[in-house]
Amino acid sequence: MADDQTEYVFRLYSSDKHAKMQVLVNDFQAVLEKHFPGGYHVELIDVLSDPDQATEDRVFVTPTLVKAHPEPVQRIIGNLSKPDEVLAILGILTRETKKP
Amino acid sequence: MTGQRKARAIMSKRVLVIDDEQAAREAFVYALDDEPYAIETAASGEEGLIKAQAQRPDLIFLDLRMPGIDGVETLRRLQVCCAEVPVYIVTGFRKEYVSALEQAARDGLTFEVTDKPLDDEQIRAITHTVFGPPKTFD
Repeated sequence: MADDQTEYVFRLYSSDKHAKMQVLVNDFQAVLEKHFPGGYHVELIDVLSDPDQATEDRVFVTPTLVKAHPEPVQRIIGNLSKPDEVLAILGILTRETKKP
Repeated sequence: MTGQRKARAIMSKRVLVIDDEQAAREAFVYALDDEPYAIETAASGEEGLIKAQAQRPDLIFLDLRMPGIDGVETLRRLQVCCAEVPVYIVTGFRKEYVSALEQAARDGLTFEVTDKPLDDEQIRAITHTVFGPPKTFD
């Protein structure tokens, strides 16, 4: 769970909780751990099981990644299979930090 | 890819909208009217399956609740004939709607879901991100 030390909080909305999406969560966590060790929380939410949470987060399509913390809340849709690219679009990783 | 080649690649993309409500079909046509995609519509699951097999769309928006074969059954048949085509089920994010899809997900059918109704900007954003890079949306 997120706590006071959590720098970033993400919710990944999917139409299933199959292994593919869990792999994607793991991929995001790996990139975040590299740049913000211990300072993130990524939650996978199945909209079929929890549609109310999707509505609360103003999600209108799967997949959507919501950056819930810090403000401002941001939502990104589309192909989320490249965490580096997604986090760069959100402005969390710059081109410089993406370099190995 | 050059700009011209990219434009040709996008122009060749075909979008199929399957919905029994004329207003819903027209909403997609209107939203994507100025976009470089070929839009086709179908008023039933049966018609949608015929068009999907004949025209091989690159993206399908599929209504869930339709007379005749419903969205879930249409999805099952689409994944036999056109498994590689991304399908977005257009439904409301309410338990009574999405619960119909839980069994489909358990059965291994692959699909995405959208809220309903979608506005023009949301329709364009979804379509653009199917064929292009991810996009932030406020």
